[in-house]
Amino acid sequence: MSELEIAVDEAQAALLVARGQSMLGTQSRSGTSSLGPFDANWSASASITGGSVDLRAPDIIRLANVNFNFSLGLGLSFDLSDILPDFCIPQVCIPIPFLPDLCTPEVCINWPTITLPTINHSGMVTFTSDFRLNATADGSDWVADIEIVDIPNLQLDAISTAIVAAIMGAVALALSTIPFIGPFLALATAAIGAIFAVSAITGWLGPILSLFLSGLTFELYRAPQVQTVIPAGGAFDPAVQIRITSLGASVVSSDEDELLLAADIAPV
Amino acid sequence: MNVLDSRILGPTNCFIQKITEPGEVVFETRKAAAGFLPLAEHMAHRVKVKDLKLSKAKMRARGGTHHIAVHSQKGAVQIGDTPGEVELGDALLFHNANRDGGGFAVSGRMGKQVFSSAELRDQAVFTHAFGLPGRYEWADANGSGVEGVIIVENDPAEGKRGAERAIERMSEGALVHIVGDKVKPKELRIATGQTVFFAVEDTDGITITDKTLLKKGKGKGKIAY
Repeated sequence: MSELEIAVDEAQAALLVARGQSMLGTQSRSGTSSLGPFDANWSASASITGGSVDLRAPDIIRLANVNFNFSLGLGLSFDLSDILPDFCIPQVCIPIPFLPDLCTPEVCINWPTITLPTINHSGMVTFTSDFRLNATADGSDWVADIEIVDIPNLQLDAISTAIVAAIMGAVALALSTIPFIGPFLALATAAIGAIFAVSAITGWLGPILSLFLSGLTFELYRAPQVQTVIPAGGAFDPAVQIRITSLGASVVSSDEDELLLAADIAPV
Repeated sequence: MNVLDSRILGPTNCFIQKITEPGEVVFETRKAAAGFLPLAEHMAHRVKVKDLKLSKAKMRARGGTHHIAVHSQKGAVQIGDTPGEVELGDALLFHNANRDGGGFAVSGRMGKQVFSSAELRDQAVFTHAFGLPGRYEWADANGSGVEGVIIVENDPAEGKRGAERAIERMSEGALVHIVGDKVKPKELRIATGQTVFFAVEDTDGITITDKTLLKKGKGKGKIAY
């Protein structure tokens, strides 16, 4: 039996988790990753809110229906020559009133590189995941937190569908300005649509969002290791302090599940 | 890359001049349209013209075409092989040999007649392959009032076969014949990628210029790149 114990029920634990989520705030990341045969630059920010708490002995807090809010900026450019075959305007011959058989030379076209304007998308997915309780010394503090156990499988198809629509809209706009694309518009759109399929976007987006979930930790409790229990009474009556020598965090089950913080103390 | 303006010959343009005077053709190419400047004789290219002693009617009805590739890249314009000798009634065809190169202009003389891609005068042709659908209203930037309209439409080209059909159609040219101030047809409808041949006769020197490049209310246009 520890010398000090604090026990909270699931409702109070939920408040601690919400506070931890708030302290974590909005996280931002950026990078480059493969999207089909192309490299896509991205920047993303995310915050995590809500979720119901289910305490599970001996050390698990299950958070259900957590809101994962994110904003994503996607920068994409690709060489149209990688998609469409080389193309040459054929030789054109017509009789001119003063030249009986005038022919132009064949003219071959270099398809350009398309750079799409940044595609921005904000969305929210919910997930359920187990978090493990930890209690550790952090400098002169003791900290109790929860860290995600396994990265959940996010359901991204609806979001990916919206991103695909945004990409294809931008692609259509970009293609419409490319000279001589007309006869190849349907081919190009189909080929690009196949590259940026919903499954491809999901496969690209999942690892990016998982970066925010990997090692996701919410701080539940932080206290100095040395604490004053009786303040100083005067020049010859110094404060009485104790040191928390160890802190444990667990879930205990009795008639109800409780989050238990247990501390051992020693005089300073 | 695909601007409709005979003053600057891009990769999808050609300038053709029928040779109507014996002796020699002297010409030069420049980065910009400057048909009014005198030829730099010492740097000009020369082609001998063999006189076949044909009547004007026969000469008008005949003529081979000699292609001259012009390489226009990064501030320099260079001419490829030129024929040593041509026959009266033949034509010189100048085309931009670089896919992504800048534009150029041609000017020259044959006998006492001058010619220029920037001022199409007599038995000259400017070709333009239209790359984008739209309504192209063109006019003479030199203010003669000669003008016309080209309407370019995308062919529905579904699938590989459709694209092949569209490319086949690109090999069908269309003619706009300009004699003096008469334009025939005034309005022409073509498919994307098709080439229009603007054949010019008996003018004081006109251009084929997209009206969007011309300043409103001014006789002389400016190229707006």
